[in-house]
Amino acid sequence: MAVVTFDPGHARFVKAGSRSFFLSTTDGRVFHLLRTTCPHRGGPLHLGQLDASRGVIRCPWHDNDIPLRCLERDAAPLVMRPGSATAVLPDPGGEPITVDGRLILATQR
Amino acid sequence: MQHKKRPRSDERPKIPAVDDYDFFARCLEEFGESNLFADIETWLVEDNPYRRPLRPHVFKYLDFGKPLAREELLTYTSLTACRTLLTIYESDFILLPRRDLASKRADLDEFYGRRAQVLGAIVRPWLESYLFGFLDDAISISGRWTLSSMREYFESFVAEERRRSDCSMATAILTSDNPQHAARTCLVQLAGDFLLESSAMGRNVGGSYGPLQSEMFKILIDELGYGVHRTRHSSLYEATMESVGLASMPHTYWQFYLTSSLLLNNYYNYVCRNHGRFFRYIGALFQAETGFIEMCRRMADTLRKVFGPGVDVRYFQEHAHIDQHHSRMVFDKMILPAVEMFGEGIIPDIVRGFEEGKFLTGIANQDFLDQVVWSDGSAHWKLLAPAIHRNIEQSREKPKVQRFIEPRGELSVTHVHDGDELCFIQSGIMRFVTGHERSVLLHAGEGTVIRRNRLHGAIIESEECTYDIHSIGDYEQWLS
Ligand code: FES
Ligand SMILES: [Fe+2]
Ligand SMILES: [Fe+2]
Ligand SMILES: [Fe+2]
Repeated sequence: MAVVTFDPGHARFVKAGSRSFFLSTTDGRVFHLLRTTCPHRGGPLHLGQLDASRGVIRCPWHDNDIPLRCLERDAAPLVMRPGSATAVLPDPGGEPITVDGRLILATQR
Repeated sequence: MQHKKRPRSDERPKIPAVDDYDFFARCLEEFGESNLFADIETWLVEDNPYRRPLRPHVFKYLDFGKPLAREELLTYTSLTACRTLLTIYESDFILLPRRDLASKRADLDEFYGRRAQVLGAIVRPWLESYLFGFLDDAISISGRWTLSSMREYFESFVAEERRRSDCSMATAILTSDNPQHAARTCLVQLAGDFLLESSAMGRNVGGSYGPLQSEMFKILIDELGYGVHRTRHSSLYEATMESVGLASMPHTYWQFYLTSSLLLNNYYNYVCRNHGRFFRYIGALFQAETGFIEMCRRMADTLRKVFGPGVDVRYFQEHAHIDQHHSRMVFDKMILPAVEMFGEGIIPDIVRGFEEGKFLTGIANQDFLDQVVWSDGSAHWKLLAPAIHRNIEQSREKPKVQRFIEPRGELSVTHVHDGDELCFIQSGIMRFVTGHERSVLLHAGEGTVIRRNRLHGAIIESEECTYDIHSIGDYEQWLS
C-alpha cells in the first residue's frame, strides 16, 4: 500500500497503478475518495451525475444509479484537514501514484 | 437584401447523372466491368472482402427504373440491386483481409479506386430509390402526432415486446428437418451485418448535432467493446461463427445471403449514409435495439439446444443485456430530446423509420423461413420433377425452355428466379445447391423444382452436363 498527501483544492483525481479514485462530497464537509469505475461496465463515474438527495451517482454510460453507500464501502481510506488530504492507496505495483486536477462532475460544488 | 430567384426543382435543367436512366444504366454496366464482381469457381470467398460476385453480365437485361413493388422484393432484380448496393455502401468502410494483403493489393486498389467511387456515387441513389421507394407506399404515417401520442405508441410496442415469447427465426430453426443446418443458415444471414457491426451506425458520429451526438457515441462505445478488441460485438459474433465451424471473415458466405438479409442490411446503410434521414434512423434504431432483446435471448437458447454447450452464445447474451440499455437510451436520450429540440414535426420521420425497420425485419424472417422449408424439402422437389417433365413433354403449350451444356466444375453463382422453374438433367451430373453445404445430386432423367424467389446455385460434377431450365411459372399447374 502507499500513502499520498495532496492539496484537495487543486487535485481531486488520484491514480495508483491501474486504479483511479476521485474526491467526492455530498455536503462539502465529509469527503470520500471513490473508485471511478462503474460496477456495471466500467463507465467513468467521476463524470456521472451526483444526486445527493437520493444518495446515488448516475453513471453517464447507461444511467444506472450507483448508491454512494456501495461506493463508499470501497473508498480509499482518507484523512481531510484544512488545505491537505492524505489517502492510503492500494499498492500501485511499481507504477507511480499521480494526482491531478482533471474534470470531476460527480461532486457537490 | 434581394435574393436571386432559384428555379424550382422541376424547372431545373436535366443532368444525366441525376435524371437520365440510360446514363445510370451505362454507369452500372461499367461498374460491373471488374474482376472483383465476376463469377467465381468456388462457393465461398475466402479472406478477400473485395470480391463479390454480382453476375454483372445480367445487368443489361434488368430494369431498375421503376421502384420495386411490395410483391417484387425478392426477385432477381432486387437481389442484384441489393448485392450491388451493399458493395457500394461498404466501400465507405475499411475492410482488410487477415492474411496476405500483397496478393490482394490490386483488388483493394480497385475496390476503393476512383473508377468504383465515381461510378458507385452515380449508381447508388438510383439503386436506393429502386429498392426503397416502395416503403413510401407500403407505410403511411398521418394524423397529428404529438409527443404524448408518440410516447404512447412506442411504449405500447415496448410492452408488447416484453410480453413476446416467440421468435420466428428460432421457431424456423427448431422446426426444421435439419436444425443445425437451419441454424448455420441463420447465422450466415446475420453475419453480413454482425461481422461489421455498428459500421452503419458509425456513419453518424461525425458532424455537430448537440447532445444527441454524445448519446449516439455512447451506444457506439458499447458496440465497439470499450476498445477491448475481444469484447467488440463483431468479435463476439466471430467467436459464435467459429464455434459452430463457420468462417468468421466478413462475406465469406456472400453467395448465401438471402435477398431480404441484404435488403435489411442495406436499409440501415440507407438511413445512415444520407443524414437527411437521421430522424428516420433513430426510429429504426429504437426498433432494432428493442426488438433485439428478446430475439437474442431466444437465439442463445436455440443455439444451445441445437449445438449443445460448445456453441459460443456470448454475442446473444451480451445483446439480451445491453440492448435493454440501448433501447432506453435511444428513446430517452435521443428520440425524446430530438422532439423537444426540433419539434413535433419530426415525429412522422421517427415513426416511419421505426415502422420500416420492423417491416423489413418481418420480410427477412419470412424469407429465411421459406428458404429453410424449401431447402429441407429437396427430396420432395426432386421427386416431383419427372412427372412435371412428362407433363411438359405431353402438353401442347410448352413453357419457355433454355438448354445449357456445361463442363465439369462450372459453377452457377447463386441467384433466384421470379417464377417457378423446372431444372431437368438430360445427361451428366449436377450438384444443385440450396445453401452453404446443402445440396442434392441430380443425374440424367432427374431434376428439381426451383421455387420462385428461392436462392440456389449449381455445379457440374461430370465431364459434361446437359440440362434444361423450363420456366413453368407455377409448378402446381404442371402436376396434374
Ligand atoms: S457502465 Fe455505468 S451504468 Fe453501465
Ligand atoms: Fe451490438
Ligand atoms: Fe445495441
Ligand atoms: Fe437457376
